[in-house]
Amino acid sequence: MKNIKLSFIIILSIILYSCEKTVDNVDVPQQEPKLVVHCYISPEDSIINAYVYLSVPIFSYYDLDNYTPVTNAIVKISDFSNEAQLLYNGFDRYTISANSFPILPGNNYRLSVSAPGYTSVEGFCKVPLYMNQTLQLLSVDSVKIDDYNYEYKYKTQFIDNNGEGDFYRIAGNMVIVYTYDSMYADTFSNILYPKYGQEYFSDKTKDGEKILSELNYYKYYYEDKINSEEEIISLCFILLTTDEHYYKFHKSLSNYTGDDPFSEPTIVYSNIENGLGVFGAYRKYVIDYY
Amino acid sequence: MQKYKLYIFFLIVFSNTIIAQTRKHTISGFVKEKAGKETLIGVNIYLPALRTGTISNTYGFYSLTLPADSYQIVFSYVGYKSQTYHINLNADINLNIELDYMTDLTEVVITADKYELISQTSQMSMVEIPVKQVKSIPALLGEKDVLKVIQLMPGVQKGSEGSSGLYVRGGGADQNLIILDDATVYNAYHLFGFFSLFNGDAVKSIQLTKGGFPARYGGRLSSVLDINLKDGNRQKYSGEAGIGIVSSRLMVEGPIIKNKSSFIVSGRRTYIDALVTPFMPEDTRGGYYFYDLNAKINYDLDGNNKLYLSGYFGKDKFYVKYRDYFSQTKAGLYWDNATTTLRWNHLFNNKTFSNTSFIFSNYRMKIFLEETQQNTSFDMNYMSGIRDFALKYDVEYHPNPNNVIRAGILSTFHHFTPSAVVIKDDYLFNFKSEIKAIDVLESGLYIEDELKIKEKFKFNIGFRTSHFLIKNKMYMKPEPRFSGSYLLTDDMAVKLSYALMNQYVHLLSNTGIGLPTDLWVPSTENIPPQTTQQIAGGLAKDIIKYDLTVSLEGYYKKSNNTVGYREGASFLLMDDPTNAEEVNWEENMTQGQAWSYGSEFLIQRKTGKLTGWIGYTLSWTQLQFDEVNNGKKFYARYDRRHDIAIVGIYEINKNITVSSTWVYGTGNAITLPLAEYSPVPHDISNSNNDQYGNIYYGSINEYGEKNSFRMAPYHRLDLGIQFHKQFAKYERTLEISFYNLYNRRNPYFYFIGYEMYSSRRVLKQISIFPIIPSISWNIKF
Repeated sequence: MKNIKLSFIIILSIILYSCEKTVDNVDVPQQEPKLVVHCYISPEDSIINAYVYLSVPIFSYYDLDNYTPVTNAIVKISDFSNEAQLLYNGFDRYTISANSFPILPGNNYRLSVSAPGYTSVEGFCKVPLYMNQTLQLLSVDSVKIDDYNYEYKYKTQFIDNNGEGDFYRIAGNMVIVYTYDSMYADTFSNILYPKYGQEYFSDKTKDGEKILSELNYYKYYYEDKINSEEEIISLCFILLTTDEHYYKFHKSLSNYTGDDPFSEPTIVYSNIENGLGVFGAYRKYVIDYY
Repeated sequence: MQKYKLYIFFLIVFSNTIIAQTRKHTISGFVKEKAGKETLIGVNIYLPALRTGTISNTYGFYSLTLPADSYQIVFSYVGYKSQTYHINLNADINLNIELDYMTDLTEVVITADKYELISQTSQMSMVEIPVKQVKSIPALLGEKDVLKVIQLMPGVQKGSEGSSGLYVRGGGADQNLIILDDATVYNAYHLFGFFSLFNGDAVKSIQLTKGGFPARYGGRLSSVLDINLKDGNRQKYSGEAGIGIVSSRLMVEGPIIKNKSSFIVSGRRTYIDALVTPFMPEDTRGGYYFYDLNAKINYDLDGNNKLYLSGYFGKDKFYVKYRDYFSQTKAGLYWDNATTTLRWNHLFNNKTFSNTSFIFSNYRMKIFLEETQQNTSFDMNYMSGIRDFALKYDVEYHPNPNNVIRAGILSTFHHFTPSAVVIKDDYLFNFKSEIKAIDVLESGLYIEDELKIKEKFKFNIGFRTSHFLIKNKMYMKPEPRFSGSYLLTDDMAVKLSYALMNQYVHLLSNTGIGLPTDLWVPSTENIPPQTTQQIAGGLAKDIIKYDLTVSLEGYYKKSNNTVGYREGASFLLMDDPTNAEEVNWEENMTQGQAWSYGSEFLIQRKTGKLTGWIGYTLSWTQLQFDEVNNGKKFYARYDRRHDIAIVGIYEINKNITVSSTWVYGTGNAITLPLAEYSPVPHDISNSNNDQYGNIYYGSINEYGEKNSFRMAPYHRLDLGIQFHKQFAKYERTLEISFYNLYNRRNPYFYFIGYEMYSSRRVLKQISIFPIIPSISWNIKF
């Protein structure tokens, strides 16, 4: 399927290569770099992480240095009565432990970030009061692809809470240990991916209904380890009850079409005022098997 | 006694009425072209003494009911010699007329034929292009294209370079009712929109209405493009053939039974694939072709009954085949259109004309992919289409010269297949067949009266009710229509119109380029029909001395429930059809509003040595959707502030014709990326305790306000020269033309690229048509 589109684009590009030209008869918009902040808070987390980067204006020199995190920003989180500052961990993000600043369900929070030379930004979110705990695993199927490769299909279900305005995300994790030659063991932690369209949910047309999601895991044969045995040592499924910002951001990111000249540009959601990125909140419910 | 008096009283009154009525007679008949007996549409039949008259209808029929007297009647039509008759109307007369085409150009007598003046009709916002002009105007690669010529008219824009899509008064490309001999055409394009389906050889008349729609038309919001095919020469066999760079064509017409029945067949096909494919490498081949065929037969049962059967068939196919050591792949995309109409004209009496049409129309698009690897194969077919069966009945009643009453009904059964996916996968032991079909019934019932009051006022007042039925939902909507004109002086009129239009069928296109992957879908209970109200006003003047018509019009359109797409909407047409069950086009659509207003100026000359027109449009088109651009108003992509077209055709002498076109348009409104940044989605698997985990996503763009950036203006000059030579049995025309004579690099789309030898990013453009010369050879026999 992609081949048709690809062939068409390739043929077209070859023909059109000679008709390419730099535009000089229109004024191109200039833009200043903006602060890009991503932060997701939850009462079930032990650490609050905030990532702070800068945006790079398009019509400028592409510079890899600009894609490193901003190290001298002042990042503060507030619940409108108390405030705390997140500190740079020396590597890639700003953190604070949940003990110093607990996140409580139903509360409103503000995240403000400022850095010298750039416009200050801030974002607001509200932690969902209710945590959906109706997630259950309905069935496990394994489909044989060929002699050595399998696909595991996990069918999960949860029931939306009555009342509009609920958003969810489904995920899963699986840890497998391969032992081979009765001696060596390799441990792999694998993310289970939901099928397309079954990862982020809004209850807009499904209020109060059952929502199904199927997650897949492809197990590939370990070629050079013939006598390997596998053992799933942990399997868990995660249901996040998120706020609208979390949902809109991730959903618009998954729909992002990029530089495809054949479709309308998609705008990735942001609730950071004067900046880019997202400040969202969620509740986390995990069911463990094994 | 009293009762008897009453009875006698009524009898006298009644008989007076009858006597008064018996003093009126009707003169009626058909108007045809002398050579070939082709019926003529819109011929003016005028009575100078009464300063009133009528025009011939789509089938060449006219009727005038007048008090018994003697009259002078003039029959006139643009490009033909007028004929005058003196009639003694003391009984009903059947007068069939044959007009001579004015071929003699050395002596062009510009008669004061005020009878076809633009100022004399109440219809406004309509343009008519003589087919002969379509054939003279230089075209891209020499392919004469009816729709591209229509794009040169004010109020009509093209979407993008080379595309045949019509954007009329700010309405989208799916808001045009394109009718070919009563059948609705859904995808009127070949080659991804570069050429239209309409082969000029078989076309008799082309009429585009942009506003003030009479009640007999409905179903689309912005325009009605009514195209009638020729009936076929009833006297002798004749035809035309041509070879051009892109395609070759042949048209043959002739009598089946002389003067009673005739046929016309016209076809066109590209041949570039047949020439190039043998030169392609063995393991990678690809190609493209299109063809179209128009065929029509007509038969006169008797003086009062005529039958017509016409059909159109066309197909475009784009295919690619490649092969390597392990596998062989065939893939492609094709789309085709087929329409068939059976029409029966019946004259009830000399005042009442009726037509019954049985119509079939089918549009289908298919993407296929077949991959064979050793013993296994993967077969995928994705189809989308729409099939219509329709019944149309129209009656026309001419009680007197001041009224033409029309009424009728059109009922269409649509069978939509927005998506049908069939996958056969040997590898994964998978067979999937998902065919979603929707059946709907769309109908319209109308009545309209074209009336004249005191020779200065002309109106067309009509009312149409449209009805739509789908599964569990019914829509019924009234559509009042009005257009009127007032004659200020003998050659100038002021006009005003109002129309309410509804559209129940929508075109989903997420590209704006007009790819055949666009889907036709119906209104449903979640998607109400789109509605537009338009008022227009203007002046129309005829400058008889120079054979010019001038019109200036302003319009304002407001649309509700305008269809658009959610941001990021994907129809999975080209991405991953194996997940077809996730596609729900209803969820990807959103509805909003549109405003469109502007003014149009046109000065046109249809006869003489120098013909052509100059058109200028100044317009604004804005849209607003709650779910797009944060609910803020934005300009439509095709919003074009200024649009100018200058078309000139000059016949130097009998053998040489020179024609030229210059167009100018403000650039499209697009959304430009402003900056790049790296998003950091939430990493669930990291239990948040690991300080060093992160997901690298790549970079995405930050965009400016939707459609806030203007591309550079578009302009180009085309030039064509035709050399005609008359031989004994045929006439030969050799045409040399240049598209984009001064080689302007008009941008087709913009993208971000790097400057040469530098890492600075700049805005770059791709343009597709540099100066393109073409040559074509045509004969007419």
